[in-house]
Amino acid sequence: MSKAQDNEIVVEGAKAKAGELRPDVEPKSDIVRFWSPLQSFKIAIRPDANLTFQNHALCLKADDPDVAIIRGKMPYDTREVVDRPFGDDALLAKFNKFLMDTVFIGERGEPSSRGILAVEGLFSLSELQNIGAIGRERADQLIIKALKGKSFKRGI
Amino acid sequence: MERGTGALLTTNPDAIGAFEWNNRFRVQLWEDQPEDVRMQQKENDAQLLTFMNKLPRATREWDQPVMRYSVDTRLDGSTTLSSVVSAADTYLKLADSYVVRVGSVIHLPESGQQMIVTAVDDDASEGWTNGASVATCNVTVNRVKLGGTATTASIGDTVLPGAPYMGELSELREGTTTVPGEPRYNFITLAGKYFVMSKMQLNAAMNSGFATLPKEMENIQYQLLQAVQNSMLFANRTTYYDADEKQTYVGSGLTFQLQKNTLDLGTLGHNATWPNYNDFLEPMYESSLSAMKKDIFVGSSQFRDMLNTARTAGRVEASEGKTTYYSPDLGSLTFDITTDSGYKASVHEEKWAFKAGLSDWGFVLDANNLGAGQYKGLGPQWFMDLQTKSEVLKVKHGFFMSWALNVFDDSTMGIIRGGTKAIINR
Repeated sequence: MSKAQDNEIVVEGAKAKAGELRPDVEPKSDIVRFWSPLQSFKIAIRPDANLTFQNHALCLKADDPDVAIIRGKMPYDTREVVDRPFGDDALLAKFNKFLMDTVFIGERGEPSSRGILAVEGLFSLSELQNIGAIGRERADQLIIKALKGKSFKRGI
Repeated sequence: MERGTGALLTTNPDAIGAFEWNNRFRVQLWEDQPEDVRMQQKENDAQLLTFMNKLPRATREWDQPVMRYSVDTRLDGSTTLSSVVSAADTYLKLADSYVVRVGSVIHLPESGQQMIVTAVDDDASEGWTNGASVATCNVTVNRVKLGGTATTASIGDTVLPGAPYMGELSELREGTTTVPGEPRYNFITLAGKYFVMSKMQLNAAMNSGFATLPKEMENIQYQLLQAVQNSMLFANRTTYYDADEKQTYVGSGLTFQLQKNTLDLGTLGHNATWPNYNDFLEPMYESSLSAMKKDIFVGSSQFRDMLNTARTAGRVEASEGKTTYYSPDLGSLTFDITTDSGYKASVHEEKWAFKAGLSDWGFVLDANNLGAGQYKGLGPQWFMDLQTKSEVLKVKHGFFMSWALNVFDDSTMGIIRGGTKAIINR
């Protein structure tokens, strides 16, 4: 869904395919990024519209009143992504396992494209620009990049 | 025998009166047999199972506990820019570089540009770097040959492959092939229950059906079907090994497989509106694999919310002047809705699987994208006389079944949660 009305942040539609469109915002402090394990999770937050996670991500301006509503609900495993790594080694290890379990859901250690798409949801498009690898290598690079630069506000 | 006196009433003499000791001589009546009363309910107790049995892919028989499949939806013929492009750049980063090959033409409709692909580096191993210092570009282009003005282009801009133009002595341009979609797998689950009855009870006459063999068989079968239906909804795929029982396989339920579309309506109900329902439902029809009509199984609260909302929005299709009707196929109360774009869905009330806390849940199912079946030779069946030889005074019968429920294109289905809950759970 686009929230173009009220001059708010625009979250553009995307297709369920690794590497394609996702909310393109810079990782600035005035942007709040929510992440959901569900690819197209919708929250009926007003009678006239759902808030929609596009490819696992929903980006809102920090002063958007919807931010407080989602923070209050945090339904169904929704997480708020922050641009700093976990400082604690135990949490970092837990985050690593979380990411690995998200990506490697298939057999024989192969990453799933749906899992890669989910981890990509932690990043803005511009943050993904320099990840060029495909397949297993891309999954590994995404996980390393997430461990180095991302965490969840309320922990794992 | 003792002597009695006075007129014969229902209460007199005491020894045979309606209130005499332990009702020894009075025949007791049921207004109706309790099991008959229960069978008067119109709702089907395991309507999801009934639905599964009616699926186009319902009667599959597998002979291995693990099954694999892939989903091949229509392949996109276009891609997008994954990096900004300056007016001078000849290196591009495409989200899917396989859309083009050397000699392909690229159209960027949003910025009105066209260019010829001169080289492709699918794994971005060459380190091609564009003006924005993105070192993982995967395509080089000529922006002069096809004319027009070279301008900037943005991340996310549409990239359309144009016809691969040929000159007087050109050779054909390379194309790409397709491969199966991402492999998925599921397990076949085995489950069964038994009951034990003494041989004395087996031959005992009962005033009603309770504790009789037919009733116990009905009980066990009903218990198992209800439990299987619950697992079909909520089981997580897993497998484990036990030293005695050996390998156990547990197949995925619907919640495990439907990880794409979920609508959270909250708990107050004021957001359970038609625009929100419509916005949730319509994308599920986009896939080329989608059925023309969905079946939505919902709990009582969700059924009421959807009905009221759709009725207010004028989206309920009346059947003989009525909005709801009894669906004999599924044994459910049903109504039909049409989305804003004209897509159809039948909403079925599933009182029993979604009761109490789940009364505001709902599953949007697509009959074309569900496969159901059983292990070969291990479909629903009774195993009789399971008692051991020393259990000479017992009978033991068991009901058993195996099943798997496979979701193919999960973009065609989804889960609704929330809305208003009833004050009284009906």
